[in-house]
Amino acid sequence: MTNQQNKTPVDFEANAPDRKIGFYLMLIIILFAFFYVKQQPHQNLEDKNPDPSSIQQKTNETLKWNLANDQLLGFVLIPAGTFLMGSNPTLDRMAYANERWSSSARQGRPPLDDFYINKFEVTNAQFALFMDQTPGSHESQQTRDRKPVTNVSWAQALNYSKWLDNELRNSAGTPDQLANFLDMGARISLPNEAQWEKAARGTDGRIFPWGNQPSNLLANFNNKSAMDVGTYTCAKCANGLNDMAGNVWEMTLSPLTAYPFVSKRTLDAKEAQPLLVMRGGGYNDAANNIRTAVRGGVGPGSPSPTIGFRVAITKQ
Amino acid sequence: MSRAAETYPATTFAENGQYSSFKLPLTLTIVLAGMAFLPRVQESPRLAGSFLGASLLLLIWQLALLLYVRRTGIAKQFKILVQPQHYVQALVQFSVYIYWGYYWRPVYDHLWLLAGQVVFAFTLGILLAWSRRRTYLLGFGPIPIIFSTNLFLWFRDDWFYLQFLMIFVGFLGKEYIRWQRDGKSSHIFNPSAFGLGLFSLILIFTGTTDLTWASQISSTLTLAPNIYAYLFVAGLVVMYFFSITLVSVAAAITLFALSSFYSAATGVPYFLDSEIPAAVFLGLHLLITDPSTSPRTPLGKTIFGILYGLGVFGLYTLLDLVGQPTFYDKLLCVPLLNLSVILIDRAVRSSTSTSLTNMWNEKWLQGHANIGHMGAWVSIFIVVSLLGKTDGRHTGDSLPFWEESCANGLVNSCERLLLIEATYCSDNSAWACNELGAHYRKGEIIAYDDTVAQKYFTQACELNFSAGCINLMSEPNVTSVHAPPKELDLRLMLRQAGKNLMELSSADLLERACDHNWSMRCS
Repeated sequence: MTNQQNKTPVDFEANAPDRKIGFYLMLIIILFAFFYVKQQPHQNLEDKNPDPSSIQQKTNETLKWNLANDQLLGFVLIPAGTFLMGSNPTLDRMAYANERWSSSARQGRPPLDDFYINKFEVTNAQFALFMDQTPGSHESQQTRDRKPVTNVSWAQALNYSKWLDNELRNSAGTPDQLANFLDMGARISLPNEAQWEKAARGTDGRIFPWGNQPSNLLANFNNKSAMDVGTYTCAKCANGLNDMAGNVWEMTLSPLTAYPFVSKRTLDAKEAQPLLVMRGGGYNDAANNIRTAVRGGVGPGSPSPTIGFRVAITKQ
Repeated sequence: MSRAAETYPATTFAENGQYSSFKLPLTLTIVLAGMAFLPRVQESPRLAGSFLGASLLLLIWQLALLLYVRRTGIAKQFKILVQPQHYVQALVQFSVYIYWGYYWRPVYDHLWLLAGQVVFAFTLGILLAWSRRRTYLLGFGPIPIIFSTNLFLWFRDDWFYLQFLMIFVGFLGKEYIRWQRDGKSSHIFNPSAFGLGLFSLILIFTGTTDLTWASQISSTLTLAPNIYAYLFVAGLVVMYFFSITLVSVAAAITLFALSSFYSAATGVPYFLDSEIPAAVFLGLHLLITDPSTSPRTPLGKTIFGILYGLGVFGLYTLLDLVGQPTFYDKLLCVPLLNLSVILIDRAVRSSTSTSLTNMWNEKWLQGHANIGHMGAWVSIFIVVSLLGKTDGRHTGDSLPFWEESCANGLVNSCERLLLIEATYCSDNSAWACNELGAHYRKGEIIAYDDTVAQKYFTQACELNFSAGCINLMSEPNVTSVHAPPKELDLRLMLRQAGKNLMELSSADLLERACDHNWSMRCS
C-alpha cells in the first residue's frame, strides 16, 4: 500500500530515545486522572450536604426550627365550631361574586373541628432550615431573615409542612399540647380555606381581622415590599394572629371551586389547569383584596414574590 | 489498491536555521492561548484556564526542546505529507457535526472548543515527534483523531482540562504503545478510541459520568431526522476511499442479527429504542474504521467487525447489570479489538482452507472487491430500512408497549419502563413524573421509597398535574391517583427519539398517540 510512503525519508526509529519514559508518563497521567476525577463527586456532595454537626449546631442556635419562642412555638388553638364564611354584599360593598355561598344564601356556617394555626407566616429563616436538612430537593436559599418566604410553589410549601410535621413528631422538644394533638391523628399542613378564614375573622363575621374598616396601622398593604412577620402586631385581630391581612398572600390546601365550601373537596385529578385558593392579600394590594373573605387562585407550580404561606395542625 | 496509500510529495522544512521550525508550534501555542479569550471560552473561568494551562504546558515543552537543540545542534524538522485518509475522514466527521448540530445546538457551541483541541493536537503531535527525535509529518492526521473523539465524549466546561488530558493520553498511546506489524513499527491502538476507552473506564469506576456530555451526546443524535440514512451515506464515502467496508458491514449485520434474535425470543427490543442505537451506528462507521489499527485481510476485517458487534451487544447488558450508563458499550471494546488485530490476521493467514481465505477475494470485480462489498451493504441497508429497523418509529418508542410488557412480566421491560419514564420526567412531562412517583410509592416494580415518590409527585404537581398534587397531599399508604397524559405530555413522549412535537397539529398528535397505543386517544 505505501509505495510513495516508502519513498519518503522517515527517520522514525532512528536514534529515538527509549519509549519507557513516555510510557511511564502516560501511566502517571492516567492514574492522576483517575484519582483526581474520583474526588469530583465528593466535592459536589459536600457542597450539597452540609456537615450534620453544623446543622445540629444551627438547630440549637436557631431555637426550635426557627419557630416563635413561646409555649406553643407560635401555634394558636382555634376551637371547634361553626363560623360565618363568605361575604354579604349588603354589609361588605367590596365583596366579590365568588365569595357568595350559594344561589340561595349569601354566607354559610360550615362546622370545623378544632385545629392549630401559626401566628406568623413562614419566614425565610424557617424555610432555609428545611432546605438545609433536605439536600438536593431545592436550590440553596441564601436569605435567612424574618420576612415571609415567597417564590415557593404550593408543592414546596406542602413539602415544608410535611418536613415540620416529621420534625415535631419526632422531637422531645415539641410542647406536650402539640405532641398530643399530633398523636391524636392531626398533622401539620397548610390550612384549608375555611380554617384560614375562621382563624382570620373569628366567629363574628368581621370583614378585616380586626374589624370592619381597613387600617394601615394593623396590616402591610398598599406598600412596595413585604415586612418582617409580626411587624404589625394586632391585639385586636381575631385569635391574635399576625399578617392575616396583607404582607403576602397565603396559599391554602383547598382547590379553587365555587362555594359552598366542602371540607373533603380536593383537586380533580383530571383538572387541566388546577388552582388552589390563596388568602389574605399582599403588600401591594389595596384594601379590598386584604379582606378575610377574599379568594384568590394560584397554580401549584407558580411561585410568586407576593405569595407565601403559613402552617396549621389539623386533623382532616 | 487502497486510495489511502496515495500521498503527496513530502516537503521538508527547517533548512533555514536550527530554530526556524519552532515557529510553527510556537504560533499554534499562541493561537491556543489566544482562544482562551474567545467569548465562548470566557463563559467559564475554568474553561479559559484549561486553554491557558494547555498552552503553558506546550510552551514549556517547546522551551525544553529549544534548549536541547541549542545544546546538541540537531535541528528539528517537519515535512508536509497530506494523506487522503486523514482529510476525507475529517470532512465526513465534520459534516456529521454540522448536520447533528443543526438539530442540537450545543454541538455548534462546542465548535470553538473543537478547534482548540485541533490546535492543541497539532502542537502536541509536533512536540512528541521531535521529542522522539524524528521529523514530524505535517498533514491532517490530528484532525480526525479530535473529531472522532468528540463525536462520542466531551467534558463539561468546568472540567475541560480533562478533555485536553484525554487527547494527550490518546497521542501518548499512539506514540509509545507500538508493535512490529508486517515488519514496520506501528501504533497498536486507534488514538481516539484509546483515549476514549481509558477515560470511559475512569468515569465508570469513579462514577463521574456527569462531568461529561456523554449521555446527551449519545441520545441526541436522533434529534437529526433520518440520521441513520445520513450516517449510512457518510459511511459510504469512507468505505469507498479506505476499503474498510467489511468491518462496518460485519459489525452492523451482527448487531442487527443479535437484536432481532433477542427481540424474537423475548418479545422486547434489546436496545431501548432501536435495533442499533444511532451512536453505535456512528461508531461502527467512524470509530473502528481506522485502517492502521484494523486487520488487513478481508476475512480479518470481517471477524474484526463481528467481534465489535458482539462486544457492543455484550457490554450493553454488562454495563446495565452493574448499573452503569450503557452508552459506553461502543467505546470500551475498541482498544481490546485493536490488541487482537495481529492475532486475527495471523489466524486468517495461517488457515489452510482455500475457500475460507478466498472469501471476499480482492480480485473480484477486476480488483474492485470493495465496490462489491459496498453494493452488498447498500442492499442490506435498504432492506433493513424497509423493515423499519433504522430511521422512523421503533417498537420501543411506545410507552404503552413497555407498560404492557412490564405488566406481562417480559424480561427487562419494567426497568426499561422506569428508565423511559425518568427520561420523559426530566423532559418535564408531568404525567411521566406522576407515574414514576406512583411506582416508587407502590414498591412493586421498584423498591418502595416514599421520599423519591414525593420528589416525583412534587415535580408533577409543580407542572400543574393535578393527580401529582393529590398524591403529594396523600399519606404514603394511600393508593396513588393516576390521570391520562395531557397534550403537552404527548408532545414530549411521542417524539420517537426525535425533537419534541411542539409544532405538530393536535389532530396529527392524536393520530400518533393512537399509533403508539395510547388507547384513550383513539376514540
